[in-house]
Amino acid sequence: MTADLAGHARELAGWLRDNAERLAPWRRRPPGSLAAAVEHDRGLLALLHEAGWSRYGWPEQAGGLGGPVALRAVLYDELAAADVEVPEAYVILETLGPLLTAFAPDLAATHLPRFLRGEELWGQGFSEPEAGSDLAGLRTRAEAAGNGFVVNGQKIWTTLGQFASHAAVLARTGAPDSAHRGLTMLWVDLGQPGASVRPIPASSGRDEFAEMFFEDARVDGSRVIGEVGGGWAAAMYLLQYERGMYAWLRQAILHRRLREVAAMAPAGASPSSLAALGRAQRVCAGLRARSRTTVLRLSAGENPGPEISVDKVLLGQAEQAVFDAWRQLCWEAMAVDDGDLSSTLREEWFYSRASTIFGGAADIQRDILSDRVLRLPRGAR
Amino acid sequence: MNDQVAAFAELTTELLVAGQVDDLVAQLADPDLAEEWDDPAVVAAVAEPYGRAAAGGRLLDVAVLRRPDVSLLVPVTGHDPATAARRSTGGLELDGLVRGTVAGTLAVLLDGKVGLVATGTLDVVPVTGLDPAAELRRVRGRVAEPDEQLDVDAATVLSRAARFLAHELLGAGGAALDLAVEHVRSRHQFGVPLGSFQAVRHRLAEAHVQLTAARELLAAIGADADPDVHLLVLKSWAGAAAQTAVAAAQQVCGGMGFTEEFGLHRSVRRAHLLDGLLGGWEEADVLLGRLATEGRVIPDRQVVLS
Ligand SMILES: Cc1cc2nc3c(=O)[nH]c(=O)nc-3n(C[C@H](O)[C@H](O)[C@H](O)COP(=O)(O)OP(=O)(O)OC[C@H]3O[C@@H](n4cnc5c(N)ncnc54)[C@H](O)[C@@H]3O)c2cc1C
Repeated sequence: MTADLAGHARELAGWLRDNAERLAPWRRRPPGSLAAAVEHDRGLLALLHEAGWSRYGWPEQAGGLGGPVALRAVLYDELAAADVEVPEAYVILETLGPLLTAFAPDLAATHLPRFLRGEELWGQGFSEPEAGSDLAGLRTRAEAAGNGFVVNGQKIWTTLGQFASHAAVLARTGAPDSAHRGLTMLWVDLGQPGASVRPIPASSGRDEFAEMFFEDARVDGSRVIGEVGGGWAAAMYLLQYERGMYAWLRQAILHRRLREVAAMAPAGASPSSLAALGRAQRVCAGLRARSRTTVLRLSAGENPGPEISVDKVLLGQAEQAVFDAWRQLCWEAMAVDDGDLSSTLREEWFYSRASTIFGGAADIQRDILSDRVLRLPRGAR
Repeated sequence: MNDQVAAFAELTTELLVAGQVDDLVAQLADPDLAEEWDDPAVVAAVAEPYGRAAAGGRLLDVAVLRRPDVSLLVPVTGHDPATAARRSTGGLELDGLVRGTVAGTLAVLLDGKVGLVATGTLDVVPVTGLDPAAELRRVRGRVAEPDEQLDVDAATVLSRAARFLAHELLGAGGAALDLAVEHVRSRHQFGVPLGSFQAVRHRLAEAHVQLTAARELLAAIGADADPDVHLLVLKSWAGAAAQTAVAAAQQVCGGMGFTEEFGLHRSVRRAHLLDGLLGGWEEADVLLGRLATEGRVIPDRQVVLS
């Protein structure tokens, strides 16, 4: 690694200290609707773009300032360490940004700067009502028409989809039984008449995600991400970031939450709740160590391969350990307090339940490890 | 792995396979090698194969005290080393464990220092216990206050011991996992290999996840981290991971895994013994949680991106 990551981190930490007052509005997510939170975050996105910090680690052709991918990891880490709430949008950015820069540099050049400035949000349109874990069975169709495609079908569980201007949609361009071979990744404009988006209220109490409907939605041929028929490869590429860099981003946030939860613990907490807090710390430390290795590998241009499922399993365990420690230590706050902080933590407790589901369920990760790392005989699925 | 580390790994594996632990101890106790133990990779290179082999002998003493003529006294239970040596009128009341044969001098952790006392008058009893192959000795008796100290503090010795034990635990857990993987690939029931059943696969995949995380932590956190980090995070991660691995292996190996001939019991015994030495992971989680509520959250910044 040639870049001086530690030096970059020190500089950024210094900037965060010097600008503490300007950053004050973003220390804690505003209570209330997700829409309000997303709107509120735009200011922070703009600020970090203007100061340049969010542009490091993204290619210059896409409006970034270049340098290794690990510089992005430094940003998430330092924001959380400085008690600044990492914008939700960065989760989407880390999922779709690498996809665009690697497979659609022209789209990246247009859209990434807008995203970084807080002007645009995107959606990840993979899952369907009938294709979740078994993603290769998806049915949304893209028929060749003119110099592009016409898309028909439905996507579901699209995080922040109701705020998205565009979505990366994995659609079937091959025969219905072509499984993962007949898929193509398309960049779909959600503002067009053929596309509609509906938020889905979630168990957390927020509209975490949305469903997207496509009825003869048009996609120009220039908006294919990667190759026609190469959608699966593009999706697999993106998963390294969705599992690897996302885990790093989350561990940064989880370490902040741990500090907060430890400070909230009542005097005379029971040994079992102390054990839950201790375990949460231990698991987060393990996640961080593992995730560090993965981020450095991604940054060196390596593909961590199936071993990245280790990160995803650990992340689910860390998320749940942290918020369960809060539940145990601060049961009253969790169950009967309607203050802003308790409400936010309660939403996050709910969200932590989903971390073993999205991005490939933990059971699927263990299957991947069984097949491709331990090389056990494949079972019936 | 650099050449130096590879040489340690090779020597250790070779002599352990040949069953020559005492020879290994003698070679590794060479005073010229003393500083090499400061390299965590060297500790890993020796302790992991040692844990895999679940052998006896005095390797812990050598790696931690770096002198062939001194044995480390470890408390029988718990994380607090002071429980192995209690002050009573006119001297110390000792009750602890030594791994392998007891040298002429005993290292006792006391008041943050490492006191040296002669073993001569002490009662030394070989322990069969949970893991006979570990060749534990229980050492009891009264001695005068030590007038000589080792030139290293107790915190350093504790950190070193925890790191060594953690790697041994990974070795024990890794050996169990390997044995189980091999078994479920070849053993068939219901006309298919056991390893094709998801319940079996996921147990073993989970063991892999836990062992990997513990290994990453040991690699990411330097030898200079304080004993709390070493004992309550690194060693307890390894202890929990090793227990996950041996439990999964015991389950999926069925009746065969319960036989002496199969050999899994060596890892099971070793994993449980080592987890308990210097305190088990369940208790460590409570201690870690208590430290956190006192404002001593284990700093995440011990693992940095660079
Ligand atoms: C909060 C949240 C945000 C999301 N955001 C997005 C997004 O932005 N874009 C997007 O495309 N998708 C998103 N998803 C969808 C997510 O990827 C899917 O939920 C996930 O892939 C699982 O699919 P499913 O919900 O259909 O569950 P199913 O496939 O029906 O599975 C349900 C459960 O069954 C078990 N299971 C399934 N298959 C197996 C198997 N082979 N072996 C063992 N157990 C199995 C697992 O425990 C799984 O959780 C999101 C989901 C959530 C909860």
